[in-house]
Order: sequence, then structure tokens, then C-alpha cells
Amino acid sequence: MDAVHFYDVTKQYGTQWALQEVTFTVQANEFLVIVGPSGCGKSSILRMIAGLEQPTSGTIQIAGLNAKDTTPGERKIGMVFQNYALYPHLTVFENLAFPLRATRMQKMLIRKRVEEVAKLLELEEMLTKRPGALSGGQKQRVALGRALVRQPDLFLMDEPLSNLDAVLREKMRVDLRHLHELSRVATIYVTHDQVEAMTMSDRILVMQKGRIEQIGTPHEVYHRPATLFVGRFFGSPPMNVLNVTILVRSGRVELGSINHDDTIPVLLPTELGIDRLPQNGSTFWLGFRPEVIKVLRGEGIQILVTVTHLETLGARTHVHATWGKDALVYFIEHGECAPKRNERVWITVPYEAFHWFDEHQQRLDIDLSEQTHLSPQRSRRILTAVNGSEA
Amino acid sequence: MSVMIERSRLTLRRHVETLFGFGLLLPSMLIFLVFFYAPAVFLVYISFFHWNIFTSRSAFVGFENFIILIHQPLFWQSLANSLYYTAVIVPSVTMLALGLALLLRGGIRSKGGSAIRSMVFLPHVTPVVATSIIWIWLFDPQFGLINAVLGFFHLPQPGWLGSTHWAMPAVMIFSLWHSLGLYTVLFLGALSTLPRGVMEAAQLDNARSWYLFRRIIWPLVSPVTFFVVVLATINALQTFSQIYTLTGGPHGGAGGPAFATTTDSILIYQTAFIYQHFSLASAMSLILFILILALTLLQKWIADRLVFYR
Repeated sequence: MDAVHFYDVTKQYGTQWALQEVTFTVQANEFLVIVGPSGCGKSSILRMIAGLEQPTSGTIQIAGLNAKDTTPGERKIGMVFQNYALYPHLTVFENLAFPLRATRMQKMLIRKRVEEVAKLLELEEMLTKRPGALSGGQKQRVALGRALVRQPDLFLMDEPLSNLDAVLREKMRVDLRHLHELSRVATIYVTHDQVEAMTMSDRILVMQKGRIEQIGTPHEVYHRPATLFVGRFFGSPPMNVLNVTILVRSGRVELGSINHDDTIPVLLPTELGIDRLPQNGSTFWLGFRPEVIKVLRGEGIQILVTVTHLETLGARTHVHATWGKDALVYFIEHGECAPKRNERVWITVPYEAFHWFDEHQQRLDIDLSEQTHLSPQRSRRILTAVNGSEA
Repeated sequence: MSVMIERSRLTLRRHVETLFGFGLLLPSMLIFLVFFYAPAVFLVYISFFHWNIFTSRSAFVGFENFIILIHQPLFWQSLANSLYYTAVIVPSVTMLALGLALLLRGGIRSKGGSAIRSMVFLPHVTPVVATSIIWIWLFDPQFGLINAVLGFFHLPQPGWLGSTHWAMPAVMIFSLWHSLGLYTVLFLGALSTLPRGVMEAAQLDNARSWYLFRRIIWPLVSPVTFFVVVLATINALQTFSQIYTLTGGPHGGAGGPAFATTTDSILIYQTAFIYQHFSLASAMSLILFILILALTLLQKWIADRLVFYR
């Protein structure tokens, strides 16, 4: 049975739309990360699952039951809040015991259960302290323990690591994932941190402006971003993006920039026809990640760029360059010959490394490295997508 | 050299600013000094003398005034009345105010929130003497609204302000009505600052009504509870106007009937301004002051063990 099922959920605050027609499913045992910039609606999703807010329209099912029919307390949800939301006047022990005492469990059993959780999270030393006397990381573990102690059917975590320092965050990332491997309780984890999303999740749900951009495994989201937004969101430094138009002049194909006058000659492999490309004159977004760029000439599209500055990070150097008015970043490894400022350099982007997005920033499936021709239907679909009408 | 001049200029400017600040405080400081602190100090002084406002002759008598008081049954009765009044008023006003605040909490966040708050607060801003006169009519045993309602439900109709048993409860009812708004508004303020995340966590932990109140809300509003208890105690021990107005008039001198509502502040007033025993009244005031101080310290001592400060 699915842990959570969102069907066509919409949420409105006054005249403001927080969520628009959101549909997705969280499978049992799954670790789903909801990621997006602040204000994208990701926390609203969590709060509606918890029952702290009601959807304006649409249905939410939790463990097969309509969420409308249950109170927040009956949903057996363990929630970890961003600011921990510990009970400030209770000791760590009492904080952990609180959800159990609310169910009128036997004192002996409560003590046993709290001690188990305290041991798991290494909180035994601080059971008599109050939250005010704890460090951020300790508070975080208590908050986690309070969610764990009642053995919930579903974990909700609202940016639980955002208040921790970098070292601790990295450790907790691994610990949380490990905890999930042990318990296999369905978990929905909200963050704006792409690294947390990539490293912890089974699947990632990317949101922007109250809409779902893409749901997929970290691999899918990184290597086949459904939209330009998703492509740019993951990866650091982010994907290079050029807004270009296709120009076909006497059989030769060029990519012309929308922003400036520069063009890139596209030397397609001889066996590929230009019918692989969107139609002459159509505009689209061309994305490619910094790590795919080769400084040597090779198979692919070659671009002449001007180096603006270098960032040395030890093992690798980030080269910032411009093509016309567009900025690009690529890497050179330690030991490779570094370019100088203002030097003009040819870089090569392999055909298979490109991501194409139409003018609405939706992914286009164009693979210039593909050795077989597209079926006529497929190319018509692409062209339709690009031009908005049958070509 | 120039640095030193610069620095001395700075110090000079700072001095001028300080003086200016004190200058602004001076009028109110003078008023406090002349009308509060000087009389208070003077009160301590005359409580050890035979002092008369009409003659300059006064004689040091040591603790004589206090000894007179100790042998005066009315003094003890007034103290008992004050403590009776305080012991009833403080817990009931605290609990009622907190209960009312909890009931109104949801309403405060809605559009009519400020209207509700004003309505609750309204009795507190009415003048005590004026509203006391209205309540005399309400309490009237034969024609009053209260007994009319009680009679309608076939309940006993007490004599209220005319009865030695019921005069004090009548005063208490008036005081509750008059002061409840202030304390309710204080509690409403405290409830509105309850951390949202904590309340939501409690909701998810399935903490319901009584458990939620007992384990989360009550401890988190404990600093305001302490403030309310201390304030209500001090106010209760000093209650004067409503007793004076409610029990004066047609029922003879204030504090009646048969001294049933003669609290220490009533007795102090009568001793000083009716019987002209200023020294005796001062001695009583001093005792009242020590009593209030002791009670407040006791409350503070208890609070340090019970109150949780965020």
C-alpha cells in the first residue's frame, strides 16, 4: 500500500496559490525528498500531510485512508520540525516520553522505549537536561528521537538539518539515511539543499512555484532533467545554459545566440541529418554541465570562449568564461594546463551531453549522438513541441 | 594633543547629554519624591511617635503603636478579612482569567479579535466608585436584579451587602467583575506567544485538551501566571474603593455590616482620617507593607521552583 497519495491537491492562502494541482505518491518504505527554492510550496505539502493545514481542494490519502477522517494525532506521524519545536520546559527524557504518555502507555514500557531511542541516538548522557542546555546537534537528535519513539508509520522532516553547521549536517545526512535503512519507514523529507536531496533520497520531487517540476530518482533528475529549472537546480556549479536559435544557411547548421550576435557552427556527424534538430528559426535552451566540457577538440559542438577568471579549489579549477554575453563554467583537473585570463579557448561539448529545452523550458528528447534516425512520428512530435503546431 | 581635545569634547558632550536626560526625568522624579517616597519614609517615622496633624508636639513612643494594635481585636479581624478576601480573590481571578483567555483564544485570531479583547477589558477601565454604585442596586435584596434572577430559579436570595455573611462575597463578586478583564488580557497575550511549532508538535503527539493544557500550555504561561498572582495579591490586600462605596451609604459606615468587610485598608483609612490616629494608621500601614512584601517574597520563592522562563 502507498504510504501517502496526493491527488490533485490545491492550496490557497488568501489570493496566493501555494500549490496547484499537485499529484504524487509516496511508496511504502520510500525516502522521498521534496526539494525546491523557498516559497515553492514544499512545506505546505508536509503540513497538509501532518494535518496542520487543510487543502483547498483535492484528496490526500495516508496509508489508504482519507486524511480528512483523521486528526493529526491519529495519523501516527513522526514529524521533525526545522526549529526542532522541543518542549522547552521538559527534560530530554520527558520530551521523548511525551508522545507515549499522551497515549497512556505503562510507565515501565515508556521508560524502556525512551531508553532504547536514547541509546540509538546517543542521548543517554543528557536525559535530565532541558533543551535550552543542548547544542543544535543535540536538539536535532532529541527532535528526531521524539519522532522515532512512537514508532510512526510515516516520517515527515521539514528541513531538519538546516540549522546545523556543515560538518554536523554531513554526519546527520548519513545517520538519517542509515536510520531509514534500518527502519524502512516511509519518509518525506523537505529541503532546499540539492546535496541532501541527491544523497539521501530514493526519489526526488522537485517543486517550483507550487507545481511539480519532476519526480524521479536522483539519477533521473540529474541526467534527464524534465525542465530547465530542474537542470539548473542540481549540480554545483550549475548547468551552463545558452538561449539559442537554429540557423540553417545553405545546408550548414549554426546555433545563434538570442542574447548577442555570436554563432556556433554545428558540425553534425556526417551520418546524421539536420532533421534531428529542431526546425530552422526555432528558439530553445541548450544546457550542458560543467563536467562534460572538454578542453580538447573532439566529437561534439565546439565553442570559442573567452576566459574571465579562475577559481582554484585544489583538486580542480573552475574556469569561468564567456561566449558573447553568456557566462559558462568548466573544470580543469589538477595538473592540466590552465588558461590565462582573457585567453580565447576552444571547448568541446560532446553531442550526447546536451540537454535541450523548448521555449517553455520543457525537456526535448533530441539525441545527436544517437546512431539511428528518429522515427517520423518522433521527429514530428519534437517539431510540434518546438513550434507549437504541426510542421 | 588634538586627540585629547577631541576626547575631552566628547566627554563634555556625554556629560551634557546625561544632564539633559536627568533634566527630563526631574519633574516626574520630583512628583514621586514628594507624593510617594517622602510620605512613605515619613510614615515609617511617625509610626514610632505619637503624632498629631494639628499640633507640632510629637513624642517618641517606640513600639507602643504596634503593641496597641496587637491588643486590638478589630485589627486582627481586619487582617483576617483582608486575608479572606485575598485568599478567595487571587485563585479565582487567576483561574477564571486563564479559563476565559483559553476560551477566547481562538476568537482573538479571527477578525473580531480586537473587539472581543475590548469587551473583556471594558469593565477594568470603568471607574470603581461609579460602577460600585450600580452594583449596589444590583445587589439590593428586594429590588436588585441579582436576587430577581435567583428568585426566578427558586434559589436562596441572600441579603448581600446587608448581611454579615454575604457582604464580603458581594464585594468579591464586584472585584472579580472589575478586574477579570485585565488579567484575561494578560493571559491572552501570553497564549498568543506560545511557540507555534511546539503547539503543532504537541498536536501531532496526540496531546488532547487536558493533557495539552496541563503539560504544555500551563507550564509555558507560568511566568504570566506568576505575574498575575503577585499583582492580584497586591491589589487584593490594598482593595479600598469598592468596599468603601459598596458598604458605605445606606448601610452605615464603610466596612460593615458589623465590621464584616472591614479590611486593613478600610481600617487604616478610618483610623487616620476619621479617628485622626495617624500614628496608629501608619503603624498599620507598615504592617500591611511588611505583609505584602513577605507574601511577594514567598510567591517569588515558590515561583522560582515552579515557573519556567523561556
